[in-house]
Amino acid sequence: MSGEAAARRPDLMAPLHVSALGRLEFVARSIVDGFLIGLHRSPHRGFSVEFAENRPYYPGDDIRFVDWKMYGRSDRYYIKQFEEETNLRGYLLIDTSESMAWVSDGERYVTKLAYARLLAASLSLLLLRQGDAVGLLAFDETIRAHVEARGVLRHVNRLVRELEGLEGGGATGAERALGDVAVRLRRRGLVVLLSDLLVAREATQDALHYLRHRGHEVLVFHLMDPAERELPTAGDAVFFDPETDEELRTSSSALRGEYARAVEEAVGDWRRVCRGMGADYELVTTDTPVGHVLRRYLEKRARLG
Amino acid sequence: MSFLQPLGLLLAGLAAVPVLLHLLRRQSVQRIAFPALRYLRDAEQRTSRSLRLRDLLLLAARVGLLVLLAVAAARPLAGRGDADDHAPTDVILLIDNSASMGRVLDGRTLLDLQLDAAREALGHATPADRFWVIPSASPPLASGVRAETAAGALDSLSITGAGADLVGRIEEATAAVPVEEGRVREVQLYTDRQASGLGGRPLDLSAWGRVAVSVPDDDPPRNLFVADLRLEPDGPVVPGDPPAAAVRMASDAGEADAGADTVEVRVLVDGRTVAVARTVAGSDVLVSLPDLEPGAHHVRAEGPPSGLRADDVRQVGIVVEPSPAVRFLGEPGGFLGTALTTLAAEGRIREADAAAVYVVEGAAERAPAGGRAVVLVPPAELTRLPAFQQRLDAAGVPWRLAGRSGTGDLRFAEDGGVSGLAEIRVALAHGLQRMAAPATEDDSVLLRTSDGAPWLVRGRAGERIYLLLASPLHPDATDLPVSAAMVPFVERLLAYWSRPAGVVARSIEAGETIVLPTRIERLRGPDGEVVPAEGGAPWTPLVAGPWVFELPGETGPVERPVGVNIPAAESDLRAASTDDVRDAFAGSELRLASTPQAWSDAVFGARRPAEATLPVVGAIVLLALLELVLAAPGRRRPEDPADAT
Repeated sequence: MSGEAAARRPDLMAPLHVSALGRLEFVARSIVDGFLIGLHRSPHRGFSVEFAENRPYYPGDDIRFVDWKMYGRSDRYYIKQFEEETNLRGYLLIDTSESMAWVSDGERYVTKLAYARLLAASLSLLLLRQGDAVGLLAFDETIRAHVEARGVLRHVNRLVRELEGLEGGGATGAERALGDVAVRLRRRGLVVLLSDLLVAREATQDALHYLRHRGHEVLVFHLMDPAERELPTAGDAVFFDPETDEELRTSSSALRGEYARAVEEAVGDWRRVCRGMGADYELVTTDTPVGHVLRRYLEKRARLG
Repeated sequence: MSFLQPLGLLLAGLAAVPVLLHLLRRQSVQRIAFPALRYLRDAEQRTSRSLRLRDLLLLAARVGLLVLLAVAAARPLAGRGDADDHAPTDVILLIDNSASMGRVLDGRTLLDLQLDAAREALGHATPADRFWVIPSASPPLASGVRAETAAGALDSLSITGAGADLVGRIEEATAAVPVEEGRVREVQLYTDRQASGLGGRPLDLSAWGRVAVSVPDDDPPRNLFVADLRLEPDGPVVPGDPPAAAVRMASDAGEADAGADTVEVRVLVDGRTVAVARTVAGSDVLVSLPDLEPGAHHVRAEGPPSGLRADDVRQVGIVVEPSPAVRFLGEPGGFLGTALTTLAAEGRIREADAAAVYVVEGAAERAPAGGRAVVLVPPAELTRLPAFQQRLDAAGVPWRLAGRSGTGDLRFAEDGGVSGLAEIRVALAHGLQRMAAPATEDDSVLLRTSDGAPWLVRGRAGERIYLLLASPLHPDATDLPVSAAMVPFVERLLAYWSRPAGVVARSIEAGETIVLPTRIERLRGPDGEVVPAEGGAPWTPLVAGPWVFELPGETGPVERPVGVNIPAAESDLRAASTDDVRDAFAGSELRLASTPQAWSDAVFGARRPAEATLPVVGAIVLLALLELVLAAPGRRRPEDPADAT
């Protein structure tokens, strides 16, 4: 694909630019549509016979399910959708703690929470279009929002509304949200954790391990601001944690090398632990086009069958 | 340290800038939200110690940088400048030209090497400098001259056989150099660092000027030398009674060489080898000399070559007097007359009317004028004593016979070199009373009796030596005339005691000052050169070897040989330690050098300091590089492509 074409595809655009295209639902659809065009095949499947609703036709949809009557009345293509029994229930767990609302450079990047919203909306749409059921759980130190998993396409509206209403604040308690999901998912499902993982490491890893023990597939998106990955030069300064207000006076220029090493060790630890429990781990910086992340998801979804 | 532009130091106030900036930044440091603080804290904990150190170093580097910039702007002067750039200096070039400087090092004498060093120093002189060229063992060669003249004076310098009192010589020299305002003073001593030359009391020249000492860069070798040559017995030498030569070898290794391998010693008379003997260092070897003809002779002892060649030889001069011409004025058939007849028959004396020695026994006759000596023997008859006293007065003898006589069983207190004399009984001895105080060095008591009274006295009356006995040579007065000691006693009277004492020493040390004999006309040196001499004048020979004094005689010039030898202390080549040299000039500002480079650095100590801006600039560059390294941001780690989702 040429660079010019890539520049026109929302799934390949920088998150800051693509989020400026409109409301979250529109943006997510743009991303997923662009992404699916890039795949040259429809991932749709698993339709049952019980009619549920119509939805607009999108290129790639099977024309057998075009509602010709609706076409006759409205001169527009609609696809008939049926209530179906999905073979996968997915839960998107979004960290909404104070640290997720931080951005190092608002003119170049989006916050980790905004990126998580965009990624969650796109994943929801993709999951629903595949016929999977999607639920949502937003948390900081407590559960802030909860949407039960459903498999109908219009369910995306509910999800997007919830996502748009998410605000950053509070400390992080991922283990509680993960435990909550474990209770809700009665049969084999997919848990996607979107967090900066500035959490209680051992408790969170224990909770993820428990989910794996229950047979759930786990996908961890470790969201990082580029400035968290590579410490910018700021000279002598007092750095403080917006969640705990804890301070550290130091010189960032002198610490860059050692900081990068500390980050690498933390990332390596998460990757090693996730691999050890059979979970997938992806480090995502907030300047990464969402389409790249969706591709990772699809590869995971393909393994699930 | 001084500065060409001291106002530049005001810039040093800039050194406070980094400190102030540091303090200000501590007050106004920004506060930054950063969620990943845990990673930052991990990194900070790992590097906190090195960070603090880095910060301190960085601050020190920046402060130092600004201070050095200020110093460089002030153009610092530090250390010592070049030898050519010094204040006007009065320099004493004191050259050690003692015998030990004749030691050879790398094919050249130490004196030659030190003269090179002196010329090198003169090469750094300026027209404003003045020089005093003073050898250690010979008269000054130049006073207050410029460098070119001083260099010319050095060319005339040669090694002497004398020793060196370097410290004393420097003290004399410094007293002779005028102290002038605006001029600095310096002694440049060129020596072999021989310990014996630097002894004595220390000389503090701190109030006078600096001292620079040039010494050879080697350790002196062990030196074996002829330490002594003397004749035994040490009296006049007469035909038919040759003395022996006692030679002692010695080593400057001292006891370490005692009993070491034997060495060969040759003894020569007038250049002809008369004996070869073996001895060890520290021991005497006695060599018999052959019977020598009347006249002047040089006896010379030679040892094997060693560290210093000049002291491997030593010499003495001998004058063998001819048999004395004697005229006897007394009873020919008496004991004394018989003894004289015996000696004449043996050829040990000659009988002559115009005699060198007149022997007067009793008061029958007066001693004629002339001759070198008169022997006065009291009469056996007491009635003739007054007439004998008159004879004494007429002869100018200050002694008189006092009333003591027949004192009993006395003996001689010593033998006076006459075998058996101490066993002789003296039954009658007149008391000898001196009428005036001793006038000459020849006045002496040669023999005493066991009660301490003088028995044989000697003195000078006019041009003549007189010998006065206290007893008649008669068996009623003493057993001497009838003993075996009579003839040897009379020979000793005529051949030895009738000669003036201590006229000329057989040998002296080079550099030693003596008074020349009053009648001397000429001096002949070891090289054969003859120079006029003035009697009674002081004489200080500097060249070792066989010398000859020429005196007028009745039938032509009479030669008096004398051996001039190197002082024994000069043969001890052991070097003074650096501490010893410093002690010799305790309190003085002293520089010691043994290489040409070090010597160039040591001379002309009153140098102007050199400008040190360039080294300071170098230090600034180094500090700037250090600052860059310390202030560089933390290292970047290459990104792992697998993580860049």
